[in-house]
Formats: sequence, C-alpha cells, structure tokens
Amino acid sequence: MIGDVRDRTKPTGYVSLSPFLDWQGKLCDPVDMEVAYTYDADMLRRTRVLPFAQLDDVLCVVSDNPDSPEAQEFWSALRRPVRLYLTEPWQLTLAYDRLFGIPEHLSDRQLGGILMSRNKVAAHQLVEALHVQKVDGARLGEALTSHNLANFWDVAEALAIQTGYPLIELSVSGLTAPAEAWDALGEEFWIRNMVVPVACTSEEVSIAMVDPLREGVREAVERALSRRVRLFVTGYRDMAITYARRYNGEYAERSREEIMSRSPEQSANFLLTGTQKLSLIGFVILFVASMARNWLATLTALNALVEAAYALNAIYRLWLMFISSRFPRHEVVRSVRLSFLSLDDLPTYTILVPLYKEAAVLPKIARAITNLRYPKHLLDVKFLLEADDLETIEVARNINLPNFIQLLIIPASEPRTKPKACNFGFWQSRGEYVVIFDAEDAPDPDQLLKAVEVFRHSDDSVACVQAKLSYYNQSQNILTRWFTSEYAMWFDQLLPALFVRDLPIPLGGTSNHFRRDVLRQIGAWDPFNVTEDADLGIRLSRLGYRTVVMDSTTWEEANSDFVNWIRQRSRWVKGYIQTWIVHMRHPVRLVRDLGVPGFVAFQAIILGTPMTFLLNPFLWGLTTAWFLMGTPFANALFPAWVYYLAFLNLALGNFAFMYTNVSGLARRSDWGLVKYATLNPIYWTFMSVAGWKGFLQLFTRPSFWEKTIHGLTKADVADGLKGGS
Amino acid sequence: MENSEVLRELLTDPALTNPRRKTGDPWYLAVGGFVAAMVLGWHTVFYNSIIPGDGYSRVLSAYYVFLRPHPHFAAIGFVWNPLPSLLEIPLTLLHHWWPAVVTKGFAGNIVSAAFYGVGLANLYRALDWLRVPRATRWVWTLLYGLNPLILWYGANGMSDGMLVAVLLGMAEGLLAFFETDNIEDLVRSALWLAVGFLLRYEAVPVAAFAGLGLIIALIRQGRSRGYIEGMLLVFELPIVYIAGIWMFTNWLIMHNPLYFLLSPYGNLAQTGTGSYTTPATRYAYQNLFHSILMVAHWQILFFPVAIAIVAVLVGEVRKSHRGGLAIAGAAIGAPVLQVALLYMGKSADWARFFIYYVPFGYVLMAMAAQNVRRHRRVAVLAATVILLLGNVGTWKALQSPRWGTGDHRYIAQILKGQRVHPFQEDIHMASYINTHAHLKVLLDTFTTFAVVPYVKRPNQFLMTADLNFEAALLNPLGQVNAFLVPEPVGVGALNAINRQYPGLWAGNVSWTRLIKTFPGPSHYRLYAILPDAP
Repeated sequence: MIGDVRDRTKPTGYVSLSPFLDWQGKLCDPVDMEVAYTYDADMLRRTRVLPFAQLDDVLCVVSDNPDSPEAQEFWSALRRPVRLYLTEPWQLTLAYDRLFGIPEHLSDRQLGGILMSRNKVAAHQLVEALHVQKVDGARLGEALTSHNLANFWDVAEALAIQTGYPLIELSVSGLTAPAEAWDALGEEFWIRNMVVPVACTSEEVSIAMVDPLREGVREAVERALSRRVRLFVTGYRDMAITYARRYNGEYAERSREEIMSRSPEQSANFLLTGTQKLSLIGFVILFVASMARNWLATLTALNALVEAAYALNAIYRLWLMFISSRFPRHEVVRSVRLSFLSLDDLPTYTILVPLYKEAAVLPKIARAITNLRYPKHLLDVKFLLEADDLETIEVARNINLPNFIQLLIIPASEPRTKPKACNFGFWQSRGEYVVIFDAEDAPDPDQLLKAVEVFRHSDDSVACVQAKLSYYNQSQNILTRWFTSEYAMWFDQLLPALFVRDLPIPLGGTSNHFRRDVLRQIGAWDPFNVTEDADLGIRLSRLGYRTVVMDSTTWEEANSDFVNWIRQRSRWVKGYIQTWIVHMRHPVRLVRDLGVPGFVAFQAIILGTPMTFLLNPFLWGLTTAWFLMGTPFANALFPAWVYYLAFLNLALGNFAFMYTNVSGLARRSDWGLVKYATLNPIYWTFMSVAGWKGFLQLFTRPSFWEKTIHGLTKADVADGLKGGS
Repeated sequence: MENSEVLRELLTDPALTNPRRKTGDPWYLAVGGFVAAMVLGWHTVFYNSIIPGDGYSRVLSAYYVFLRPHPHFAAIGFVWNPLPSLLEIPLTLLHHWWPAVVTKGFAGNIVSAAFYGVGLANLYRALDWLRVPRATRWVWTLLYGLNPLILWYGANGMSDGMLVAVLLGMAEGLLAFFETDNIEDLVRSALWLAVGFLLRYEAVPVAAFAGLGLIIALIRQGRSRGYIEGMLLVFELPIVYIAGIWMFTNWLIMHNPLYFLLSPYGNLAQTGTGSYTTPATRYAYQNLFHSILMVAHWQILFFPVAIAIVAVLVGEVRKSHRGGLAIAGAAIGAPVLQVALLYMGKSADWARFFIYYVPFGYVLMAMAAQNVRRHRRVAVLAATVILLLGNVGTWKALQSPRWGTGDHRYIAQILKGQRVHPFQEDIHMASYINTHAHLKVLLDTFTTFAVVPYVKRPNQFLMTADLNFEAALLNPLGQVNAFLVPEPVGVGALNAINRQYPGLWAGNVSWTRLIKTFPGPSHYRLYAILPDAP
C-alpha cells in the first residue's frame, strides 16, 4: 500500500546532512551514496529532493521544500513507500555538490570544484577538507594539502585556474631571481609569506607565491624593489626547494657559527680560555706544592672541602625539593581554558625533530605529531635529517608523511651534533613559536595549545615553556625504572622549584617551546655544546628571560640498554661540565647576570650534578678504605667535624635523596616505581661510571655527540599511562 | 542509603561545616607550653631537687661528648636512643657558665619542655584536621597539657614525654593525609615517626601497628595494591632506614649491630638482673593472658583511651575515611610491646611505659566525637567530660604506689614541697676524688654516671666513653691507679669492672687494695691498683 501523495509528503522530522565525526574520529556522511546514485542528479537538483537512506523497503528522502511543484513531481513518479524529512536548503545544496560534484557553471569559481572537475580530489576528500576548513579555520588549499588530500602541485594548478595567475615550476627549472632581489627584503619576509623572487629585470620583478591571494605581499615587493610585480603561482615544495637552494649554504654556516661569531665567549667550540688555563695550572701547582710539603694535611683539607661542598649541595637540593612540595609545581592549563582558545587566531608553530639514525622510530614520531591537536595547516614541521644518514632519509621518503612535515637534509659538516641540526631547521622556520621533539617522543596531544595558552598569559620575559618528560617503557627493566624515577625527581621536584624561585633552569633536551624571536635574538643553540638545552636555559636566564614549567607531559623512550645508557649519560655529564666552563669564563659577569641566588643555583645544578657523580667513587672508596684499614686511617684523614659531616652525608644525605625520590614518585602516582627507587644507590654507581667516561671524553672529544639508540622497546604511550595508574 | 540521608551526612560533615583556617594558635601553644613546662621543671629541679636518673644519664652522655680534648659523639653511647643526648649537647656546653644544666641535669628539662610545647601544637593541629571547632580545640589541648602524666613528663627531662610529642606529630600527619590525600602529609607523619625511633624504641611497635592500620584503612577505601604498597613504603621507610643507620653505627663502633639490644647495659640485661622484678611482673611472666590483663589494667592511667578506641572502631565499621584504624593501630603499638616484654620478663612495671594511652586517647576521643553526626554537641560535651575524668584518673593513679610506679614518690615530693638530696653517694665519692688529686680512677659511667659532673678535674677519671677505657680496664697499670666499683648486685653486677673482675668488690683481686668504702645504697668501694697489676 503506497498511500496518497499528501500522506507521503508529510514530514517525519528534521535531519542534518552535514558529515560528522563518529566516536572513533572517522568522518561519516549521513547520505548513503548508493541510494542517492540510483537517481538522476539533474532531476534531484531540480526537484530539491534527495533520497539519502533506505530502511528495508522504505526510502528515506530529504527535501527543503516538499510542497513545491517540482517536489510533487518527484513524489508522483515514486512508486514505493517513503519517509520524508526536512532539511536546510544550504545543507541540501552542499550534499548535492559532494555527491555529484559542483555544477559546471560554478566549477571555475571554486577551488574545490576545480580540483574535482580535474579529478584531483574525490568528493569525500573534499567533504573532509571542508570539515577541516570549518573546524580549523584553514583555507581550502591548506586543508587539502595539510591532510594529504591533495598534493601541493595540484592545488597550485587549481589556484592558477581560479585566480588567473600563471603557474610556474621551480624545482626542476631552478628559476630564481638575482641576489639583488632576494636581498631587498630579506629571508624572513620571503619565508614567512611563502613567496620567492623568480626573475628580476630593470622594470619588472616576477615573484611566485603559494597563496597568490595573500594580502600585502605584492605591494611590499613593489615598494622594496621599485618595480612592477608580476605574480606567479607555484607549489609549496617548489618553494621550499628554492629556499633550500638559496639559503642552505647560509643556514649550514649559521647553524655552526652563529654563536661563535656573535659572542665567542659563550661558545663551547673551545674549552678553556687563557685565564681559565692559568687558573687551572695555578691550582695544580698549589696542590702539588702542598702535597710535597704536607700530604696528609693537604688531603685532609681537600677532603674537608669536598665534604663541605657535598653537604651544601645536598642541603640546597633538599631545600629545592621542599620548595616544590610547598608551591604549585608548574603552570596548570586546564582543558576548559583550552576550549576558549580560538583556532582562528592560532599562530604558526614550528616543530623541529632532529633525526639521526632514527629510521626505526621515524614513523612513530610522525604519528605522534599528526596526533597533536593543532590545525595542521599552521604546523611547520621539520624533520632534520643528516645527509649521510641514507637509511633514515629513505624511510622518511617512503612512508608517505603528511604534507605538513618537511624533510630537511643537513649538509655533512662538523660538529655532528643535535644543536647544529636544530639550528639548521630553526633558521628557516616560519612559526611564531618553536618546539623541539626527539625522535622517540610522544607529546600530549594538547601540548602545543597549552604552550600557546601559557605564552599568551605570561609576560614578555617568558621565553620558554618546558613540558615535563616521562617514559612510556618505564617498566621494561630495572634500568628504565630507575631512569624514570630519576626523571620524576628532576622534572617534578627540582625544575619546578627552580621555576618557583625564578632561578635559571637547565632545559630538558626536548619539548621546550620557545618564542622564535627570542631564540633568534640569542643565536639559538650552541652547536658545540653537547647539552645545548641546559646551556640555552642558562643563556636565557642570563638575559633576564624566564622559563615556565607546564603540566603537559611528553612521553619518551627510557634507555633500556646499559651501554646505550652509559653513552647517553656520559654525554650529559660532559655537556654539563662544558656548560659550566663556558659560563664561568667570566664569573663576575655571570653573578651580575644571574644574581647571587641564580649563581648559587647554577653552581649547585650545573656543577653540582656532574661533580656528585665524579666524586662519589672517591667518597665510597674512602668509606671502604676506612672499613678495611680501621679508625687510624679515619682519624688521620677525617678530623672530627669532617668525620661527622661525612657521616651525615653518607647516612642522611643519601637517604634524603632516595626518600624524596620515593615520595616524588608516590605523588606522581607512579606506584609501580616506588619500591625500585629504594634501590637508587645502585643506579648512582652507574652514574659515576658514565660520569667519568664523559669527564675524560671532555679532554679528547669535547663536542663528540654520543648517539643514543632509540626503538629498543615495544611499549608505547598507553603503557606509560598504565604505568602511572 | 536514602538521598536525604546522604545529603544530611554531607551537610553535617565537619570538613564542610568547619573549614580549616590558618591561625597562630599552634605557636602560642608551643611557646606557652614550653614556658609552663620549664617553670614546673625549674621548680622540681631547683626547689625539690628531683632529678630522674634516666633523664640525668642522657644529659651526662651529652656532657661526655665535649668533655675530652678530642670530642666524639660516640660518647653518648649505643644503648639509649641518641636524640635526647644529641639535643642536649649544645646545652651542656653552657655548663661553664651555668653548671646546673649538667650537675642537675637541667638541660634535659629544657629539651623535654620544648617537646612538651611541640606536643601541644601537634595535638592542636591534629584536632584541626578532625575539624574540631577552635574553642573545643583549645579546651581539649589544654586538658591534654594539664594531664598530670603529660605535664610531669614534659618537665622532667625524660625521653618518654619527648616521644609522646613526636607521636602526636605522626598522628597529625596521618590525619592530614586521610583528609587531603597529600603525600607530603604522609611524609611528615613518617618523618615524625623516624624521629620517634631516635627517642625511644617504642616507636618501632607504633610504626608496625600504625602501618597495619594504614594498610587496612586503605584496603577499605578500595585503593589499589600498588597505591597501598607505595603509601606503606613512604610511611615506613624513614623509620626503617633510621633503625638501619642505628644498627650500622652500632656495628661500626661497637662491632655488633644489635649492641643496643644485647649489650650488658641494655634493657634486656638490666631486667635479667632481677632488679626490676615486682609481684606484678612475676604475675605476667610467661603467661600471655596475664600479660595482656596487666597491660589492659594500666589503662587506669587514662581510661578514656579504651572508650575512644572502641568508639572509633565502631565509627570505622560504619564508615572509613579518617584513618581511625591507623591511629588506633598506633595507640596499641606500645602496649603490645609491653605485653611481649612482660611475658618474657624483660620489662619493669613503670607507669611511664603506658604514657602513650594519654595522647592517643585524646586524638581518638576527638575523632570519635567528630564522627557523631546527629548530636555532635552532646558528643563533644560528653568527650570533654570523659577526658576531664581521664585526667582526674591519671592524677589519682599517679599518686598510688600500685599504678604510679616509678613516679608516685616524685609526685608526692612535689605536692608536699619536699626537698630531696639525690646522688649523695656519688657526690661523696666525687668529693673524695677531688680531695685526692693523685688519684686517677677508672669508673663505669653506666652505674657511676653521677660522679662525673662533680669531679673538678676531669682528667682524674677514665670513664666508659673514653677511647682507652677497654685498654685501661684490662691493663690498668700505668693508665689509672684506682677502680671505683659498686656492689655487684642488681644492675651493679653489670658494671664493666665487676664483669671483668667479678671478685674485685669483695676484695678477691690480688693486685688491688681497698682504699675507701662509701656509704650509700650501692656500697661503692675504691680500690688502688698495685704495681703487680697487669
């Protein structure tokens, strides 16, 4: 029984035809294409009716005006049971467009239409891009390319058709304007606006743009070069290649020499200054002379000095931990604050990912970056690959990376360090903010948004926002457990206290977010320093900039292999000593820059940390010798007060650190690690082994980068989160 | 549970109705308490001349540290827990200007008065966590401070009062932890507990039973195994470590990690002499039921503790969220140790061993009253009356020879305003040594400690804490020229000279000659070392 037309055109309800994301994040179209395609497209457009689903033998049809004569015509022709729904006219129009394509008479006016008519994107891809456009506020071309729905060249072609500007190919042709044109506006202008000068005559300058509709660019070039401007459209990759041709040499040089040329005394490309060498020689002579005169008194005095320094360092660190237990430990950015962030006015964000021999984990980091909740068209991601690392380059080229990830190949040159790679990427970055992620990192998806929020709510003195680091493979073995508990102490107790007290913070090697302008101002990272992160933290502090610790975690892979761990730790120890030496080249200036509290913190953290590792074996050795040789030995080398100080260091100092670590882990709810923290003293012996390796290497290969191998675990972030439950 | 009932429970929850407000009250209590206990201490020491021996020996142990040209902390010994003496060391350094800090042991009174003040502050803060209203907090804290046992032990320099104050700190941290879930609060509690170990060994059973209570409370809260494990570690680690360090130092210096327990000077050895055996300890010996009964009877010192434990446990059965189990566990820790010691015949029946009933009685009673929802004002009033009656009970018990063992004589002397003359025997011996300048006497300060502060020239004696004591004991010739020994009965038998030369006091060592016998309870004798001595 089909029924009367009037009954059949009685609406059942209202439906939305907008595609939506299901709970898995998959985009769903409420219109069943198979049902819609059984009808003639022109007829449906004319009648303003759309069959969109079929429930058994009942056809579900939507219309924006079911009583119109055209619609009546459709109902009369239909010989089957129908359920009618109403919808908005624009929703119906968009549904027709995505099902049947944009009508020919409109296709040359809309980018999506052009691409579809040229079979460069499918209807569902366009729908997805339109969704992204709506959510992220991206332009359609950006949405299509950043989500790999269309390639850069196809979008450029479509843009050329849409705007009427000619298309120009740059990667093979190698077209570029003479230096005069490039120099007229400077690299910052060209890169930020994604524009390159491709030719220049006395009357006319030709520029190629990724987005020819970008305002103000043409006028700026006209003004700067006093010539008529001719505009071309080109693809983003062509543009990037042109930049690389133009600036790579300069970037390579700058990545090595920027700090050296700006402020040589802050570069670790040489170790000791003349004054430092003289002081060292003076100390050695004094020591030898004292030993010759009275070796026992000399050793006793030295012992007393060491014990006192050790005790002071321990007290200072415990005080810092006490501070962190009393005050908010980091900047908390609640989700509700993030929900107020307007995606329309988010800045471009540069992500630098140095990847050397990281073929195994490269797909992981690409996935982690893709998972970041940040408009993809505003991401300027640079994978920094070394020219001789063919394996990683090959993997990067073959895994179909998202278009917003750019591969930068760093020319081979010394020093082969991570900071040099970061500098290379940084000098050609476009973002207002810059962050570094390591190859094995998995940052919290909200991390960039949180960092933007923190920057926006901080004054200009905040130059860096440090996220917290933790490990997802913490329960892989005892080493990873110790490593994680050590990081918990560092990032949850020590750094937050430095932050609370406004003291210099040695940054972690990853997940530190910077204001790009500040980083430019100070010359970015020192390529010769193997703990460039700590060094940068001190340099920022010396210039009066502050670092804020925020409540966002980046999950990393803890070193699970002993030899690999020793290598990594030895580099850290070497780097801290390097940093100390560099900044102590002018101690008075350092006190002036950091202030007395900052200077004390610098000594305790930058010198105290490696020195503890280096001295521990001696102190343990003395204790053992004392047990073996008895009290006469102790009496000789340990006058009463030194003896008691040493005993307090041994008995209470060690316990205090172990216990603060235990309680710190408990506070983080890392229950699985708490009991292992009680075995920390064993871990400290490993640190000493690594410490001495690093210290000795300081004199043989000061800027040699001990590579940490990643990808030694099968765990992922989910395991890390479980570990904390 | 009905919705209305849930709502009523929520609306009457003290945590909501009485939010905590930071006040300076704990400071006022601490300072006021210190002053009050100092006044009492001053009165008892300088007017009554009451100087409890155990407190005095701790002061002298502190005094020994800087007595010799080469100071050494080991001089405080490895039998008694070290903190009282360590804290008293700076005060004993004042003895040149104020001899009474050592000769009358007043340094001990100063330290115990400080702990008394701390104890009041700790209790006040604990009550604050229980959301006891401010006026009631003051009343209950003052009642606690006026409890005769607490006040007396706050003033007399003994370590028992010090431990009580510290255990209140532990309780405060625990209560805070159950309220806030903050690890820092549990850490604070654990650190107080560890300090407790440095004061008295009773801290060990307290830690064990409080830990057990903590586990059960957390299980009842439905916490994960990892969480409970972690919390237990946070709570117990400091005391375990401190105990380990204590054993380590015992091993390092005395070459026996359990020296503090097994040494000839230790409690076990002392009780082994039978000096502390009474009909009551005989009653409990080797009979578990009698031991339990005896410990339970001692609640007469502060009967509210039993009521409070039962009330809190009943409250816990209904609902668990305030850590009542952990505090109840802590409260039974020390009594359980006493049960064990009495059963083994290794304890005396002194009232002070049961002082812990008082602080935990106050905390648990407050908790029980605050757990009442419907008629809390009545409950608070009832609790106040019970606590007051408890204090009266303590007062009565302390004055009775049966329940006030170890203290009733002091209380009577204070009340009657009597002046006593302690250590007359020691003063007599010291004056003899002072008048015989040629003497260089070997003495064991375990029994003969009170002689030391009265000898004007410290180089006239060689004492236990001296590094060459052992050598001089074995080969006295050339090192000392006299031995001072008590009669080898009771703890006198544990004197190092008597242990080395059992027949000496009786005159059975051929290379010695009796110089002098001193009148007094210990029947000291001074023997000259003859040239044929080893």
